[in-house]
Amino acid sequence: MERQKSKMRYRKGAPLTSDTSFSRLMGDILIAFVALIGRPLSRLLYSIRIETKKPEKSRKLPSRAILISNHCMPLDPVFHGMAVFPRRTYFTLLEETCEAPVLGSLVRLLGGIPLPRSGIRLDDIEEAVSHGLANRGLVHFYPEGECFIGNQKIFPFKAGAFYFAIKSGVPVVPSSPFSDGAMEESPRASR
Amino acid sequence: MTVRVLAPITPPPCGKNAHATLVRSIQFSNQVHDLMQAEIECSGGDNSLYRGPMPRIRGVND
Repeated sequence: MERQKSKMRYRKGAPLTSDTSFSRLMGDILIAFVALIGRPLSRLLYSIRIETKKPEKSRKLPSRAILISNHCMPLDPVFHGMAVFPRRTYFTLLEETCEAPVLGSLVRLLGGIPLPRSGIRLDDIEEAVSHGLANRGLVHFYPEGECFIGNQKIFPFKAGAFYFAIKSGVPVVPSSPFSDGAMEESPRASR
Repeated sequence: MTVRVLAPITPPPCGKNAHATLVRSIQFSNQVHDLMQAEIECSGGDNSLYRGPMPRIRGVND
């Protein structure tokens, strides 16, 4: 068990996805737990109501797809995870976040794929995306490359996610989180 | 906050080489960007809440 736990901690140069039976089991439990408490907690702490609106024609997400969204809240991966639940998704994030002792292991269990800044690991990212599509069918990218709190004017996208979509031949599903003033009521939300 | 999931968009086919695929990726990213921005504007997204880039967390990802 200790060895499994130590494998969860990401270090530079390590494989980008962790796929052991232990990590899969823990990940499933954690995602179910977050889905259970996420909505009431975000309402209570941040006065945020998470509501998912899907177009009539496509009530169901494709079996394999790359999800794209603008990053306007620090907890966006949690909100988007809840929006697609019971489907599970991998999501990309800063490599440095995955290296953090506790948070890093937690986000890896939830499905975090660290994005190394160095271009020499591009093949590893492509491999991780293929792995994500094969296992959960969904990989989430934030192509702005950074979190811009409360932003509703989307910054230019980096092309990586779209490159992987073209290479893998899977559709892109955009999701736009937008604030409708609910955040304004909560001082915590602006932190 | 509302998360609006849009309809899936099929990507263009791969280019003849890596450069051509990259060019198509950039065009495709602009197309999706414009679609998402239009959706936010149509839904009444309020940019007055903009607080700038999220600061790095000291000791975690700084």
